[in-house]
Amino acid sequence: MSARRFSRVVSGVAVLALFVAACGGSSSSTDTSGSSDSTVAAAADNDLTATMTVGLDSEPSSLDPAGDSLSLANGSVYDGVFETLMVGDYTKAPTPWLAKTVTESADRLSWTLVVQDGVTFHDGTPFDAAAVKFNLERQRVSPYNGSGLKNITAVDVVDPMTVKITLAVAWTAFPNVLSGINGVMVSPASAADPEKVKRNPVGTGPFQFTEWIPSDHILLTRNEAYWGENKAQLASLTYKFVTDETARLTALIAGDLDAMTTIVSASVKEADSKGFQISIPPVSGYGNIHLNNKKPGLDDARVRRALEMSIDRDALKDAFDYFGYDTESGTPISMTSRWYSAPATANKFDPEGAKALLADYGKPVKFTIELLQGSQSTVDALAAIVDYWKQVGIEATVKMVPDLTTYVVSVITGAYDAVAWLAGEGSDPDSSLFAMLHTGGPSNYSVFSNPDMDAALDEGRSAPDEATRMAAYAKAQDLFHSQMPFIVLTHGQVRILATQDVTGLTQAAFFPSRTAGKKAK
Amino acid sequence: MRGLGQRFLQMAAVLLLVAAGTFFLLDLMPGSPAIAILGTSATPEGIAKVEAELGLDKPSVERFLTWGTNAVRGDLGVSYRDGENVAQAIRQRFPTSFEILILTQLLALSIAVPAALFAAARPGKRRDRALSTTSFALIAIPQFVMALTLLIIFAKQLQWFPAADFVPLNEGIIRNLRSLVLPVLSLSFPLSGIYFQVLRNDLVTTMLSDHIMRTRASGFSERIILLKYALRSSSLTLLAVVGLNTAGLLGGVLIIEQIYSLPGLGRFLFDAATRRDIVKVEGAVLVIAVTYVTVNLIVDMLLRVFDPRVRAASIGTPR
Repeated sequence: MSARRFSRVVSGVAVLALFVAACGGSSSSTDTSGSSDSTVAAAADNDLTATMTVGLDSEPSSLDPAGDSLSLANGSVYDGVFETLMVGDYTKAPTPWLAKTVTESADRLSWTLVVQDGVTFHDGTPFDAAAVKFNLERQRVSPYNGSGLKNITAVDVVDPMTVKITLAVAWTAFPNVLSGINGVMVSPASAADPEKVKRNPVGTGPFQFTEWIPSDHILLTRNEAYWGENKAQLASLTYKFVTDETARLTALIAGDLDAMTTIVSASVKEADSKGFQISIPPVSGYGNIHLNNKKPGLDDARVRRALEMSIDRDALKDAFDYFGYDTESGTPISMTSRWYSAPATANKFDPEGAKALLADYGKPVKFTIELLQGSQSTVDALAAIVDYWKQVGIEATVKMVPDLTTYVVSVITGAYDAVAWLAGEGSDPDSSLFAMLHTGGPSNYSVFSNPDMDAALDEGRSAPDEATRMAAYAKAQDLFHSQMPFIVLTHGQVRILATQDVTGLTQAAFFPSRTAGKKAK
Repeated sequence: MRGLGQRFLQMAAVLLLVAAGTFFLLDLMPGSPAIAILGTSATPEGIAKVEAELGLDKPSVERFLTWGTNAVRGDLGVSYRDGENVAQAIRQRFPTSFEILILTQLLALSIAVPAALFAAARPGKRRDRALSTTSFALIAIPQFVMALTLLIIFAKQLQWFPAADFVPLNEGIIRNLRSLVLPVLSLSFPLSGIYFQVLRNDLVTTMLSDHIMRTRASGFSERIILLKYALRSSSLTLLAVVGLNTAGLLGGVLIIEQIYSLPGLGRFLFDAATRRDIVKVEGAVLVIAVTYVTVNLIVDMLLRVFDPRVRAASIGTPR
C-alpha cells in the first residue's frame, strides 16, 4: 500500500507540503504575521462572534515547537496559539514582537534581548527573561530544531527582563532565526510534563488551545486576555483533519468547511470554478533531486549541470500542471524572495549543451535514483525526468522505497546516489543555505564541499550590513548554478480554498489563525 | 468445564505470540525508530538524542518484558512522538471502530441471509445465478472505488450525507448514524457478497444431505425445510465466518477510515506503524487481538451449544 499519509509530505518532484521546521532546524516562516500592518480586513467588518472550521490534509503528531512540527497543521495551530520573539519573512526584515528590543554587541559576538512588557502565557505564567532562556535552551537540545541554534554558546539571564545570548561567530541573521521555530515561546510551566507539552500547547497568542480529539479535530478559542492589539477575529476556530482530498473538497463545497488547504491543482481549479476564494501563501519549501556528490559521475559539476540542463521545465510544468508554481529559480531561494538574484550563468534547458558537457566529462554516467512511494503524479514526473536524462545519454534507474525510515537512512548515511527529496526554505538565506551547502553542515546530505561557497556563506552569516550580505548570497546563488550540488525542481506551494465570507487570508504560509475572520452578515 | 480452561490458556498463548511477534518484527526492521520519529529532519545528533530518550540502548527482550508487565495491568504506555497515552487513545477510538463493526456485520447479514435463502430455494435457476453474479461483483469492486463512488454520489452531488463529519454516539444517535451510513454501506456491500456465497453454498449442500431427505420424506414443505432445518445448520458456518471477520473490520478498514475521516483503529494502527511508533502499534495490535480472540471464543462456544455435530465430535476427545 502506498504511504498515503506521506505522499503529501514527500514528493520531491511535484508539490510540497508545508515544512515548518526546515531540514537542519533552520528558521522558517512560522508565526510571521506581525499584524501591525493594515493588510488585514478592518475588525469592524468582521463578525467577532463567528466560529470557523478549516479542513487540513494532515494531523500534527505533536504540538510542541521543540518537537515534531513538520506538518502544515502545526503551522496553522502555532499561528494562533504561539508567538515568536521576532516576526519577519523573506519579503521583509524582521521586527521585534515578544522581544521589545534586540541589540547586537560591539564585538558582534553576543546579542542583548529585552523582553516585551505585560505579556502572560495562557496559563498565567508571566513572560520574562527566564521564560526566554528556558525556551531557547529547550530549542537548543531539540533533536528536531537544535542544529539551527548551533552557533549559540550560552544563554544568560541578566535581569528579570533581559537575556544575553552569546555566539561562536557573528550572526547577522540571528533576529531572523528568532522569527522562526527556534523563537517560539512556550510556557515553562506547561513544559514541565514532557508528555503533556506535546498535547497541550500553552503560548501567548490570540487563541488558546482548548482541545485535541485525535484523528478528528483541534479546537482553539479566543484568548480574551490577549496582550496585543490585534485580537482574534473569531470566537473559536476548529481545525478538522480530513486526509482524503475528495472528502475534504466535498465538505467545502457542501458547506461543512469554511476553508481548506490543498496541494492538488485539480481541487484548486474546481473550487475556483465554483466561486471560492483562492489564497496563495508564500513559499516555504521546495522539491528537489538530491545528488550524492561523492558518488562516481555525480562528483563532477559538469555531470550535475548536464542533469539540470537536460530537463525541460516548461514542458514538465504544463504536463504536471504545477499551477503557478515557481519552476524557474533553480536554487533553494525562490524567485519571490527579496534575496533572489538571477544567476550569471543559468543552466537553461539545452540538451545539446548537456551532451557537450557529458562528452567533456568523457565517462558513462549511471546511477540509481530513490523515491519514496507516494502519489502517482510524483512517480510520473520523475519518470519523465529520467526520460529526459536518457535522451542525453544518462542512465538513471528509479528505485521505489516503500517506507520513510529506509528512505531517510539511505540519505543521511550517504548510501544513496540520487534521491527525490524535499527541503524547507527559511525566511533568511542563512537558514536556507548554510546547513545544506556549507562543508560539514548538519543537513548537507549531498556532501557538497566548495571553499568559495563556504566563504560566501560565512560572509553572509556574519557581514553586518544587508548590502554585503546580499552580495554574498548573490555569489552563493551563482556558485550554486555553476556547481549544481543538487537539482531544485519546484518551490511548492500550498493553496488555501475558502468561502467568500472568510476574511484575513493574507500573507501566511499556512492557514492564518491570527488574522482569519468572517464577514458580518 | 476443563475444556474452557484449556481454551483460556490457548487464548493467552495466542496473545503472547501476537504481541511478541509484533514487537520483535518491528524491532528487527532496519533503521532505528528514532529516524522514523525525526523523519526528514533527522541528523546524526538528533538520532542519538532520541535513541537515548527512547531507551533503545536496553536489550529488546527487557523492553518487551517491561511493556508486557505494564500492559497486563492496563498501562499501554505513552507515545514518545506525541505524548498520547496509548490506552486512552485506543479507548477513544475503539467505540467508533466497534460500532462500525457491528453495523457492518448486521447490514451485511440483513442483505445476505434473505438473498441466500431466496437463491438456495431454486439452486441453479435464474434468480440464483443473478444473485451469485451480483455477489461476485460486490466482492470484486475495490473498497476505495466503492467508498469514493458513494461519497461522490451521496455526499457531493445529492448532499444527503456528510463527507467528513463524523459525530460520536454520545452527541446524538441520529447524527451519529447519519455520519456512518456511507462508510457502513461501503464495507457491508462486499461483505454481504461473501456472506451470501458462504450461506448459499452451505444451504444448497445441506438441502441435498441425507438428513434433509429424511425431513422431506416426513412431509414438510420445502419452504419450512429451508427456513427451519437447513438454515439452522448452515447459519452456524456463517457464524464462524462472521467471527473471523472481526479482526479485519476492526483494524483493517484503513481506507474507509481515511476516506470518511473516521477516528478509528485502522488509521491509528497504520499511522503508528508507518511512524514506527512501537508503543502505539503494540497497544493497538493487542487490543484487536484480544477482541478477535474473545469474539471467536464466543462463536466457538455458541457452535458447541447449538451444533450437534460439533458437540458430537468433541465427545470422543479426551478432557
